[in-house]
Amino acid sequence: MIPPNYAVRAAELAGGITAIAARLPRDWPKEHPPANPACEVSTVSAKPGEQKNG
Amino acid sequence: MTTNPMHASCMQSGFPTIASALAGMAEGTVKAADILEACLARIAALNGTLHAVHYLDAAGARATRTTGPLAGIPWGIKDNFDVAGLPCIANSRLRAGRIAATDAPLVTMLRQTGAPLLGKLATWEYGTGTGAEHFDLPNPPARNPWDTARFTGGSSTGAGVAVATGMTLFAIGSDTTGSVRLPAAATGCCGVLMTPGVLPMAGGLPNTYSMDRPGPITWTAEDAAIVLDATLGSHLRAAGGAGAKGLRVAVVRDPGAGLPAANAELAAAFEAGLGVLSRLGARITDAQLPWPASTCLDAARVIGAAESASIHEEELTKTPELMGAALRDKLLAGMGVSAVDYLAAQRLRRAFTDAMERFWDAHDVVLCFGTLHLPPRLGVEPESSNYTMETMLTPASLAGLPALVQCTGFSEGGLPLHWQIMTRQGQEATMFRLAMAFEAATDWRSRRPA
Repeated sequence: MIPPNYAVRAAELAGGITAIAARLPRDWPKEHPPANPACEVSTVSAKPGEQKNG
Repeated sequence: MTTNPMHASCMQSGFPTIASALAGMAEGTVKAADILEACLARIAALNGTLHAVHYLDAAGARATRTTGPLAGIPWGIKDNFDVAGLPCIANSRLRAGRIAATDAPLVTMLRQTGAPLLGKLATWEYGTGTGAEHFDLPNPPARNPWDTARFTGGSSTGAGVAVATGMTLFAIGSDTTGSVRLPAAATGCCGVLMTPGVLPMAGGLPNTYSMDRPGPITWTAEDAAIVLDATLGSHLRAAGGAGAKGLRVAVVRDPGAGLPAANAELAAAFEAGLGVLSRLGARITDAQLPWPASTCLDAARVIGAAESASIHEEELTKTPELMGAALRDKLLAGMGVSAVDYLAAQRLRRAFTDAMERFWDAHDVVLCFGTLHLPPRLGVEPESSNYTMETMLTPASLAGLPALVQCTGFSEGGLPLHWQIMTRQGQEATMFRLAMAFEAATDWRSRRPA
């Protein structure tokens, strides 16, 4: 929830980020999935290449 | 190990690299205590102007055991990682008075190398922001030692300053879309991102769920390899010494629509550096990324804003007045990201990551710019924000690629120039081969801030 005192500023900034998002490609095949945002953050080191982001 | 003339030169200059310090200690020509006291003296002399160190732990550093592969090599860490018994404020009023109870896992790993931790280094609030400097945080902004009117690169704002000035011999920062690489670029240092998961981010205040990575900042690429080898048990220094001959270097100059061309002095140094690599036997070809850097930047901005807003939503809702304007603006923007737009960015990310996997069939490394600008005047808009926002850093952020920024010379005005190397996940040694070969073939590491 956006604090009422910041609603005007939030609307300005939302316009900016929406314009950025509008430039992203959208013509993906329907089965094309998003990357997984829940990239695991390990607490111990992994071997190089063991973990793949995205 | 003891006769390398570059190491001797570094020791004589009063600015030891890690390699030269280790060599000197092995020879018996320098003592660990002297290196530590020299770092403390630099902090005492410079930090009042440069504001790179937020919390100094001289007693803790002096009490550090003197065995291990990095014994006697003082370091600092960005103040968004927990260090037991020290404040972890992340330059925010939201965390005033917070003392960490335990070490972050990465701190534990580095302590096991025997390296004495000197303290916590400057950061933008919560390790994030918009690039704009509002002078409204608990600590004053760090200042660039090459020109104290200029920005240090962020968000790990103290890390590059500390290393470039010899306050510490290495520093740990964290990078979501450039926060290790930008400070390295701005201060003439080397900044490295490893394959995600290789260095743990746990115990660090998160900025995003999916793009945060810790990374070392050092004076040389060789020093970064030494730190990583000591921490991970890898062999990057040895592998990096194999030279650049035969490496397939994909040169990407064009950032894509919506971004400016690189600064002319950056571009000239880039071309001169390509000449060096060519003479070293690298196989250089022009190439394009599967999607331009500008598209990656758009996706990273959407993902970053939304994930940051999710992480810090409760504080934004309850105590927005305690935030600095940069953090608050970023979170407010993130609150305006629709789920469909967020997923559009993540769909691009999936496609880009998969395409980069195929890209490496024909190339070993990508060489491109980091940011497209010289270090800007602190707080002067729009140049200050442009330095952070108009970059080619986000392809590596999105696809989780290893990346390394290193110095390629200096502008006529004496500001550091740089380039960025990226490589395939798990192929860090290839990246270090190129960086260390370039470093050995040029003399840019002999110059330090006045």
